[in-house]
Amino acid sequence: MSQIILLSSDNVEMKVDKEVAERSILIKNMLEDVGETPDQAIPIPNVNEGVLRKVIEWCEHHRNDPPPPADEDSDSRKKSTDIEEWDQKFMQVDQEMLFEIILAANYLDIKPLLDVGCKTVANMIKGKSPEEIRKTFNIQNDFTPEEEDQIRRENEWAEE
Amino acid sequence: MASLATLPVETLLQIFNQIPTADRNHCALMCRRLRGIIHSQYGIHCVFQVDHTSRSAWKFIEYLLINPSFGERISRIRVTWHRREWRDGTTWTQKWYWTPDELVKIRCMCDKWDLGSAYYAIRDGLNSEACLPLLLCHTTRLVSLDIGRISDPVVKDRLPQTLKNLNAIYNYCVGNESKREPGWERRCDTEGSFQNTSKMLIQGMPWFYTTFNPEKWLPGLSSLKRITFGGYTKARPDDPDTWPYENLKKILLLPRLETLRFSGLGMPEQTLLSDMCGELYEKQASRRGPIRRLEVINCLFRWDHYRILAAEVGPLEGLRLSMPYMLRMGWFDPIRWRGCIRNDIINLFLRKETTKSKGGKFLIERQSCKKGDIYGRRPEYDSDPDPDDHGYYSCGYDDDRIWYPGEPVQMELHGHKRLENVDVKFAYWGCQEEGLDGKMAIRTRSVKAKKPKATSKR
Repeated sequence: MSQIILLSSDNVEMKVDKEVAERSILIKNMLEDVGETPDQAIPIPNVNEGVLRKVIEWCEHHRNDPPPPADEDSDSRKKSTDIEEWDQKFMQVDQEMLFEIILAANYLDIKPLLDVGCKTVANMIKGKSPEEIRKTFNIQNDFTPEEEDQIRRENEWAEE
Repeated sequence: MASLATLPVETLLQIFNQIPTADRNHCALMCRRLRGIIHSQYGIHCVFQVDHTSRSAWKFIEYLLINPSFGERISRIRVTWHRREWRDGTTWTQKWYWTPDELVKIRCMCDKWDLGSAYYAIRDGLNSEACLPLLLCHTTRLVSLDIGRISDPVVKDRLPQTLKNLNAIYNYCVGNESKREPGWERRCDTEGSFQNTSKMLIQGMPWFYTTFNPEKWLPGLSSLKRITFGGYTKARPDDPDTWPYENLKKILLLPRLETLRFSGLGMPEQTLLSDMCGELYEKQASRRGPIRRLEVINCLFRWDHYRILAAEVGPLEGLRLSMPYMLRMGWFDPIRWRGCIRNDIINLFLRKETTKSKGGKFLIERQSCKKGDIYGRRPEYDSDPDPDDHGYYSCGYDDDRIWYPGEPVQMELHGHKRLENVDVKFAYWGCQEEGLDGKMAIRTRSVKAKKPKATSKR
């Protein structure tokens, strides 16, 4: 089994099975372009060590998953926010890490991981009041008083 | 630092696609960035509450007159009906008073869009339903409109025609005596102030009909892709309370319509959609897109009605027909009906299928006969992310319905990629259906045998 080396943004090298790293379409395409297994480390400039380890952990666990169907069956996927148990546990991290994983999955083009991350966030939003959402995600209110007033009025006819 | 508010747009949209509208609206209250993304992607989803005691429909129009740009951001409107019940004073919404300036603006808009007849109802301030056309003047980017159950009269339960009742309600609605307008007694006398604009605004023409003008579509109708309306749910061919069937003719002319759903339409026995739609065919050439999803729920349609409808729609991605049990007075010939569901109706719509359509949902079903059952949508349809689902045609049980054992309960066609690959499921009480028409190779299998209720013997 050939291995490759990934280099995190904070210059930590990690040895990974090629098959595992190829869960990332970005890396897979990169390796295909190069043609042969490179000796040098592949820099992943946007992802730090901790996050990269998490992402690799996910890829290890899902290394034998069948590839996602090419035919976009987005209908069924959109509907369900069910997450399998292992992934649920995997996503039990602090929020900073959760969003870092989502960003990394987006950058590395690991669609199934991105899906799991988005579903996790969607489930955190569902059923919460605006105040709860603000508190949960610590979102700064940057509306001007005039905008606040407008929002309050227009909200009267919003779909609930 | 990574946080929800700083995620890339495409990732945020992936998240927002998975949560219900209400939750999404909450997110739009968080900060400028999220609000901007949500509004530009989904538009604003609004509820128009007709005759709600909060008078929110009047306030809606009042706000739009000052802030017309709000209307341009609305993508979806759902109309809910809160009619006054004459026995219950707490439902008697008070009259709305406009300022002279506002009336001038309203007059201008009504003149511009040929809503002359609606103007008087808007001015009178008693029936907020009349404001709906005015709302449609402002919503230039409206995609989806759910009219709801349109046919309730302004005062529910058929207002008893006594001057005393009318006085009581009118007095309450217009407030104290000093606010009464001259001649109010005469108006009460004829129920005029409580006239239902959706049905008879002026000269017997409902606003709904008159405002659907193919020569000059209201801004809110010209880009409409989905329309939903559920009328009187116990549709009977001879019932004056079913919604005016003429509306259907106009709806079929909407230039961009893709999804059409309606329920509770009762056709008078003499009326054939084909006769009614003569003009429709002439306009056909100018129609833009074909209807791709169709739901006809609890409508008393005959074979000819289905035939005309089938001619109007394009290759369907989704079809749902639910047929009522109405079998009275020879209107509905059960043998003919059976013939219809077995072969003809399905073929009418399926014949248009092309290999292009994939994974569409086809469902033709008979209402369940359980007492107190709410028919209409089944649970899997409620989870459909299509944003127009509001269970608008749930209704009660009608004792007059007769159950014929052995008749198909429901029929599902789904997962078809191509015509010859259609999988038909039948749920019967002990009988197996043959293939459809012999023109398509369709596998059939019996699903769950359902026993009819004891009350439903032949």
